[in-house]
Amino acid sequence: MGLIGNKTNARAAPETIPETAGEALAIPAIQVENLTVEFNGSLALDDVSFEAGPGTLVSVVGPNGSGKSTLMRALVGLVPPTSGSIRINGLSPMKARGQIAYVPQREHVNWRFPIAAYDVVMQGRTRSIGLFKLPGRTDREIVQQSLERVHMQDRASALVHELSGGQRQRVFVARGLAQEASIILLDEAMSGVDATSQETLFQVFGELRDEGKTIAVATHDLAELADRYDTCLCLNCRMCGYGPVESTLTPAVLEQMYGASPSHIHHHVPAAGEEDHGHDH
Amino acid sequence: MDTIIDALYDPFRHGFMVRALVVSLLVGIMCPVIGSYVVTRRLAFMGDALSHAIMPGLVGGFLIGISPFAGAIPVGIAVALLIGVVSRRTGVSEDTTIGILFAGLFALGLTMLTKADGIPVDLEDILLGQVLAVSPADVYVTLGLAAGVLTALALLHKELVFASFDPIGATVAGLPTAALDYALLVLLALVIVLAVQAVGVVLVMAMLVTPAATAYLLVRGFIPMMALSAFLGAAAAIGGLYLSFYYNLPSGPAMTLVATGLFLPVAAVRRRTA
Repeated sequence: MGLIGNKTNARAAPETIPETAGEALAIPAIQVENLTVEFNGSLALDDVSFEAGPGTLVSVVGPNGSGKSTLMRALVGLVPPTSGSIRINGLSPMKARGQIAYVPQREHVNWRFPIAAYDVVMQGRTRSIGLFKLPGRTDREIVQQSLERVHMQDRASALVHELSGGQRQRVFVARGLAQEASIILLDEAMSGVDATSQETLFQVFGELRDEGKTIAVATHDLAELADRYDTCLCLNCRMCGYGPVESTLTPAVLEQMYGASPSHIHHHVPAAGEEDHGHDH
Repeated sequence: MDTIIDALYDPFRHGFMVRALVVSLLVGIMCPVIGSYVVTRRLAFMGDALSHAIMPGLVGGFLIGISPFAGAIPVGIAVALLIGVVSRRTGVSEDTTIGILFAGLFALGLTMLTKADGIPVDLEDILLGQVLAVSPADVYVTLGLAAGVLTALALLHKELVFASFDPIGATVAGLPTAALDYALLVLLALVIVLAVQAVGVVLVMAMLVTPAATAYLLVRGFIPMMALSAFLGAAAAIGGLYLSFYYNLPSGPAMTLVATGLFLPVAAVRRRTA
């Protein structure tokens, strides 16, 4: 019990009496109910419902085109729900803007733009600084601390297009830290990210989760899912499963996501004999 | 030695050359400063289209007897906003929308010009620029516009950079990215209006992209890029002004040739990996 409390006291909180930050803890960081998203008549997400956090590290898994990115974009208000509802810290996605830090897919970033890592992290302070104003000392301190947390302080003056894929992701996560967002979403975060950067990122994600932040990561990588994330959300347009990684990512759920012969990924599955389908959300 | 100094100094004994120098300098600085966004955001076609599309405004300004600026400024702003609206409404791709408005408005301007009798302007001056002909009033309007655009760019700098680098991230962080995009286009339209006097409708694009691209190859950050491109643009504008004066050339081609002459050797030796 001590172990669980140490790691995820916030997750256990809804059952217990909230303490000092009680109000914040009582409201789910992300609350999605019967979310359906259609593009030109074709379903991208079909009746997805789940709650997460605060204080959770969620992986969003599924094949290409399974709606992972659509879900991420709906959570930040970039894609309107066709039906269903989304609450972010109890607010609509548009009202919650600024409370979520979002790391977009890399093809949506203009890498040609000549900007230093430090200045990207400072972008996280844009709203706090305010229109027509320059960063103050506090902003610079927060940026410096954010860079240090992802071990990028030595590359602060490098232009982002000079950085490796993993270093770029670390800079974007640092921007989320500088934003002091309570929720961080990473869309396709780990593709092309080197092992060192992955270690750094997961260490930071773990720390953030322990601070009560909610992190959701869209990923293709089913290896080590159970070691790295608290919960997984399995998508294939519909929600195939949601819950703790080990009990959710069963052969049956994998088959729903990846089709009839998921043999090529079977060896990543923890406890392959389990029968719990994890549909209870 | 004296003859060189005389050759550099002589032209400015004429009042029209002093005015031309001021306007050339402002065009040479303003075009590359906003051109740094044009180059890094791939807005070159938009810039070219905007400069052609203000033709009806320029000609209209002459026809009514007010300054061509007074006609071109509202038309430029309207076209900048219209492109966004039309592409959003029709679902036709943005570059096609730009192409349609560009060609249609340019044709309208040309038609107005050929059908209008007795207006004191040549087609060639509008197309290719004639900075030697700027009036004292033009100088003041250009100064005012340049100051306004520079101020706006400075005030919105961090927001414009964020939206240019990561538009989705900026939207999610709560920035009004659509409004920022429109603001940038309006500022671009204003710079184009002031640049048309010096380089003409056809060659505005050269001053927007060439010095900024040269600077992009030479320096690392965005503000250094803006600063160096402004210096290169000013050099091209002044060099072009001399060529224009001594060889009786339209100023647009002269300035463009100098800017291109600065770009080519840099492009030959520098390569930027992205």
